[in-house]
Amino acid sequence: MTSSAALTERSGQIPVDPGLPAASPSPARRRLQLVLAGLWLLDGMLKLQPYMFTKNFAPMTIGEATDGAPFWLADPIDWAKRIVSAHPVGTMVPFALVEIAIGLAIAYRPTLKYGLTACLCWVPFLWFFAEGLGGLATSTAGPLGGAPGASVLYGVLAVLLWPTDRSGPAVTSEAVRFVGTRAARIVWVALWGLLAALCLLPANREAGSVSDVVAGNVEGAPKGYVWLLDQATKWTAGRGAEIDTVLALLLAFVAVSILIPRRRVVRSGIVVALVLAALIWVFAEGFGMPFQGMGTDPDTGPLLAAIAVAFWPAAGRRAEASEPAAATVPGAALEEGSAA
Amino acid sequence: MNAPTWLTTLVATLMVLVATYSLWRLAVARLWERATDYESDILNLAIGVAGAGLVASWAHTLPRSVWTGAFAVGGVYFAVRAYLARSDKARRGRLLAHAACCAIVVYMFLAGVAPTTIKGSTAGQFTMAGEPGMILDQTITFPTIGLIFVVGLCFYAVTVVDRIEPLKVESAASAEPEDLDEGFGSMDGTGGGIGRMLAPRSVEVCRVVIALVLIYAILTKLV
Repeated sequence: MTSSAALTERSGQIPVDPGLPAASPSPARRRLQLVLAGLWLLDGMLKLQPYMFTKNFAPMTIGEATDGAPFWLADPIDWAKRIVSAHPVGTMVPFALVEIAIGLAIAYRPTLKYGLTACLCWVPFLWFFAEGLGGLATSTAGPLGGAPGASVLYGVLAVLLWPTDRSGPAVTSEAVRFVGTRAARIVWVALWGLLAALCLLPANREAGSVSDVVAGNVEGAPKGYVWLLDQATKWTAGRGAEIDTVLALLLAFVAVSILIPRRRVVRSGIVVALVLAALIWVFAEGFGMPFQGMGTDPDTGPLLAAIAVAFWPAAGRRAEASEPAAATVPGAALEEGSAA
Repeated sequence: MNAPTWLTTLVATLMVLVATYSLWRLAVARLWERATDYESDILNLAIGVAGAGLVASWAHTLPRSVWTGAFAVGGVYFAVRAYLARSDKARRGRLLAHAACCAIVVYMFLAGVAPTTIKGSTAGQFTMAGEPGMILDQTITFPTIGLIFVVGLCFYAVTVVDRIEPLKVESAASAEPEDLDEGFGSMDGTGGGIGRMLAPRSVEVCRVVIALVLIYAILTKLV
């Protein structure tokens, strides 16, 4: 047996046939795919909470998607709501299993492409019926309200992280590796530009627009988090217009930063994006509202952050991309850092 | 609120199956002269039995304090072994994963993860927390820690799935079993180096099942 195989066995890995094509040669890309897989798994497991099986779930959660929605969107959602309300167990268990299966399929390297394909097939259905297009068809959509919807961000990540061994000087980040630089930039500018534009909608510039969103996460939350939210609610009360203006400017900076041919500016834009994603997740989305038992997904915060990380222009990216695929499991390096 | 009874039964049965399979591995490994990681199998056996009792009352076995003490001791044992194995990163990672698993189970026993106290199921009914006439179930203390563990277990599960390899490549490993003995002997450290590894992928699958069941058990008691 070769020494590399013995090493993989020692580390608890099963040796891989060196002739087996590596689905994804970049460890950084694989890590991001595993993040996507983990989020799908969490998404699916959250759908197995007891509240999802009650008759309150559909009117309270899916019903919210129809608020302010046009008839062509509200009517199909109402139809879906009636079905889920009548058969909460019969619908939610399959939904959960589909999402758990997507997560596990992405995590298992031989089925990675099937998992991502299933993700892309599932996302439009979820985005339309469960999220009402992320509120984009209403006049109240905003980054603090979960726009453009977690589902569509799953889809964006699935495309950006599609397995490919493409390398070369043009591959400056994982986001451009499959779709190319121009398409990746379009995705980035469209996503963050859209969020910036939504901040300027009249509904998001009202005095209580921010404080109301923050206060909405208090119910059921642990004491320390309630205190934090209370402080944030007090601070943001009556400052909706100012906060949304600042948020719009920051989001606009994030959107255009990718176009500036200076690595430092691009990284600054990504750091700002990560900070904004974290703030949105903690203060506006309440970590996906798990403390109320009503959270069906982790919401947009972690997905926005994952997309931002995919665009990070790492210094050693080019050298790393040109390295030949290792004969051992690509995920072996991952395991060491994340096994605990 | 609680989950449908059949779902709870199914989840508890999965844990019983994991425990039974781990016991079977422990029994046949020596008979078939196959290597196995005894620490993993014993841990899976213990979590399988204890975890089933956390989900369904029919699977209740030992008192909670006994299980808590056992997993606390197990956690310390794996943590110390991980410290001693700090020069071998892969082995240390595996031992730390065992220690973390024990810590999560200890948390679950201390925080109050337990079978539902509601007679029947609230599935398909009108019931909501915070409203008059709601059907209350026992919930856990320190839900934030529970959520952190849930997220950690999700990412642990996908990491474990990531390292499962397709079946066809095992033939390469079986070509020279003598060399493997050394590797496995050092991996488990408990005299497991007899021969070729006994179905290593199935152990990883058991880990994934355990992670999913623990996530489910915590989430059902969060609110």
